[in-house]
Amino acid sequence: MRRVVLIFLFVLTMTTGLMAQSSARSGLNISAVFDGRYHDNPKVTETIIKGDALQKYKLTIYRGMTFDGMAEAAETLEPLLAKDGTAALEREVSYKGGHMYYAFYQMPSMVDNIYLFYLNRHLDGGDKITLIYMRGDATIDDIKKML
Amino acid sequence: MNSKNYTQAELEQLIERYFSGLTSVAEERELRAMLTQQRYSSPAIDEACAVMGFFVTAGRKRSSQTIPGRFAPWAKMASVAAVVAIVMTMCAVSWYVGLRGQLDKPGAGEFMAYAGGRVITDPDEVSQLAEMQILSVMEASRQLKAEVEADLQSMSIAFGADE
Repeated sequence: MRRVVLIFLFVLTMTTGLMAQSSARSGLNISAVFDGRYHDNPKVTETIIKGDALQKYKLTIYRGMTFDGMAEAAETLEPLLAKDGTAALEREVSYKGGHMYYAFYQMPSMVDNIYLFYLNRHLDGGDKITLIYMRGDATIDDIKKML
Repeated sequence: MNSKNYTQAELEQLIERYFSGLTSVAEERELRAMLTQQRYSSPAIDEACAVMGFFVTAGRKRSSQTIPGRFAPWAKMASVAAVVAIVMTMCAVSWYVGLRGQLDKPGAGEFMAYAGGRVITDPDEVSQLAEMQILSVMEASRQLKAEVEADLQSMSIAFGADE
C-alpha cells in the first residue's frame, strides 16, 4: 500500500511539473511571440480573426504577424520555429543563405489541425517577415488548395 | 440473510470474479456475508478480507493471521494502471489546454489587429491585413513549388541525357 501511495505521489509530482511546463510554454514555442510584446511596435502588424468569419475556410483561429523592416525579428523567430519544426507532422522548409526563408508546418493537435507559416522576405530582397498561425478542421489539402 | 452455502472452491471462484470486476451487487453482498462468517481460510480469502476489510470487520476478527494488510498483486497492478490512466488523461488534457494557450485567446471581438501601434477592430480592415499576409505566403509558396518543379525537370533531363 505504501509503495502504491509513493508511486502515486511520484506520478502526481511529475504530472504537476509537466502541466506547469506545458502551460508555461503554451504548447508551441512560437506562441511566445504572440504574447502581445509587439502590440505597441509600429513596425509590427498583428492580426487576429476568430469565429464564423473563418468557417468557409474550415478554420477557427487565424493569427498573423508582419514585421516590416525588422530583419532582426528573424533571430527571435527562427530558433522557435526550428524547435516547433522538430514536432511537425508535415513540413516544407526552404533556406536561403543559411537562414530560414519559408516554412510550412502542420503541428500535432488532439482535436483539429494547426498550421504555421513563416516567410522571411529579407532573404530575397524584400523587407518583411510574415508569420501565420491557423487552426481548425481544414486538412492539409484544404490549406494547400488555399495556397 | 438468505445466502447460499458456498464451498471453499466456490467462494474462491466468487472472489476471483469479484477481483475481475464481474460480480453483481447481490454477489458482492453474498461475498461480504461469507467473509464475515470466517468459514474458510486460504490466501485468496485472506486477501479478499484485506481488500474488503472495511466491510467485514463487524463480524470477523481482525488479526495478523487473517488480514495480511497488503494488496494482492492484481490490486497493485490495477492501482498502478489506474494511476497511469489518470496521469495520461491529465497529461493529454494539459497538453491540449496548453497548446490552445494564448494563441487561441484573441481577446474581445472576432476581428482584432494591432498595426502601427494602434488597435483595429474594423472587420474589413482586419480582413485586408490578413489577406495581405496570406497573399505574401501564397506567392512565396507558389514560387518555391515552381523552383522545385524546375529543379526536378532539369534533373530528369540530365538523367535522360545520361541514358
